[in-house]
Amino acid sequence: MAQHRLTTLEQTVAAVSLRYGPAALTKATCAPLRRPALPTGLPALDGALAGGGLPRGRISELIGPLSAGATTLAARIVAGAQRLGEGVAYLDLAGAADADGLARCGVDLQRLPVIRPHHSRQALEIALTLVARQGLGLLVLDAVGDLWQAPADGRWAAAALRRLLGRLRRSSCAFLALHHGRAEKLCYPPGFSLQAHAWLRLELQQVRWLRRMGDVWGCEAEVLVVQQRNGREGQRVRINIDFGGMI
Amino acid sequence: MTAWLWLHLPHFAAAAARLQANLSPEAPLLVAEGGRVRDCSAEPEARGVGPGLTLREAHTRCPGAYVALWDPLYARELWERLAGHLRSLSPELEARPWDALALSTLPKPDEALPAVQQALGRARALQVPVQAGWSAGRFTASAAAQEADVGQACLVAPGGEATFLAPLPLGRLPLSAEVLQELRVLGLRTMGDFARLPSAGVGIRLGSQGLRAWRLARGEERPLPPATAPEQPPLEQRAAFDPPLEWDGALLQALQRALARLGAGLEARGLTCREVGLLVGGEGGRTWRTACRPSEPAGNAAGLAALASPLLAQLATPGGERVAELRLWAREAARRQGEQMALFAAASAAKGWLQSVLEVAARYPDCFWQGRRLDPCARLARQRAVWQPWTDPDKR
Repeated sequence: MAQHRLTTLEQTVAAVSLRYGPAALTKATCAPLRRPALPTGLPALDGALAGGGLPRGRISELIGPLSAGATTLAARIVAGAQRLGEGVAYLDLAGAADADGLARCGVDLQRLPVIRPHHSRQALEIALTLVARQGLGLLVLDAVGDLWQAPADGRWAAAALRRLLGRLRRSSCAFLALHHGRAEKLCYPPGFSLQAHAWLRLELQQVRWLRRMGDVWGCEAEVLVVQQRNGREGQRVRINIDFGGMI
Repeated sequence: MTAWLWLHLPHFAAAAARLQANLSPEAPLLVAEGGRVRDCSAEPEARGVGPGLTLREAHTRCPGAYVALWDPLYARELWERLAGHLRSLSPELEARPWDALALSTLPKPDEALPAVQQALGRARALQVPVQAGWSAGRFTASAAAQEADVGQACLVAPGGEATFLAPLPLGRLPLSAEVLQELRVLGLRTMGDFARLPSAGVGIRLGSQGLRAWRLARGEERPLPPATAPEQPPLEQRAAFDPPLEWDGALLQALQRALARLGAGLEARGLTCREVGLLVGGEGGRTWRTACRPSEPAGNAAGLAALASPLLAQLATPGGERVAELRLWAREAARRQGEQMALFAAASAAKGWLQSVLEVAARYPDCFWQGRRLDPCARLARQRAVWQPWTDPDKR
């Protein structure tokens, strides 16, 4: 009787797999584990973050003044996500992303779509579409300050960000928003307090340049966990950011 | 092991027409079909007449030639008579109507020579001009036949195929016109030039067709031996100990090694097992038997080697009798399905993600870009990498 039940189950599984694809049914012991967080690739930073990385389905902010290494850190995170087999997209609003710099940080350029929209509305439309598609592991927005130039744009951006927030919650995508500037001078869309909805806020401060034989090869930076909904806040982590020979 | 006798029949249609019209062997002859020349004898050919030429033009070039109409029924009858004669010489006969006949012979030249002479004699008796070639390979035999004089045979000794073929033109090889042109552009004229190329380069540039022709040019016509799968360790392991082992660390190590070999066998087959059986034979003939079920299906060397201690612990330690034999086997082996499913799911998810990007990129055509690395050591950044529009990764 037990054998008969087992055979029936196997036949059912085979029929479902045939009809809906092999990924439709997977044994619980064999299912690929979807971690609740996306590792940044920096063990010291991952140790300070709840879940061991950027939270999936939530907004994370990375704030750093110019030349503090925020973009390089974001590129390292992108490279780490690609190594894990995640789909990554890079929203380059200012059109300033450096292909050579990304490659030196270990990013696989062939698998990284860099989106350079004509205006901020288009940027948010594309972001909404990509997040809704499922399968995206990390979306980087560089940078939040470029999302609007006029107050009307700001209101539309706020509405779109609210929709994006809803779609993010239903997906397993980590959203990393970059801010280039000091934390006290950040500019957010009117009517949408991004900092209030962000699950994680990281502030980057450069401590010193790292030199070898007189040449700068990176910088030592301090990451302050300003806000973390499900973990301890106020932690300070020292990391070395390697520019990969960019300077 | 056989060799091949290739009989090339130049101007067979002309020979058949000459027999039918009862003409002398020296009389110039044109065989016509549909107002054009189908075949001709040696003299008109020397004056520039060839197949496809109009009869008016052929008469202009060779005024005194006798014109016979092509009679396929008579030609078929003559062909069958020749083939019937040759069939008595060899059990294996291949016919390429109006052009060539090939028959297998004994592998050594001195053994095959009588058959060659008899074949030539029978063709001569039927007044059919024939050129014979003999070699261990069919392609070399056909090339030898084309090189021989009419009524004569050209024999290529075993092992001398490559030397014989080396000066022959490249056009004899079964290669398409484009490939032949490409080889001519590269400066290759003879089969020897082609045979001297490295096989890897030929395979990359010309593919399987080129590699086959390359092997022919080297006189290598024997089929390649079938690829054999690497030998896999058996799903049962036995070990005999002389002198017998004590029930201590040495036995544990031997058991671990045997389990690792068993695990390697499972891994090579893509299997896992749910139970491992152990039989230990003492020097006095006594045996102990046990089995161990791992917590989850094990299918590699490390996973099975970890079972050594639990297996030994299950056996009651005998008093004084040492171990002379060990036998291990895997039970309830099953295909490692879960891992394959997970890999397949991950691959399809990655492909699905790229497909999604492609669909969105099609909607916003000039917004999606991808980087391309140029020269990492260049001085200027724009020389090191550039941006270009996003394209389908499968088509790059």
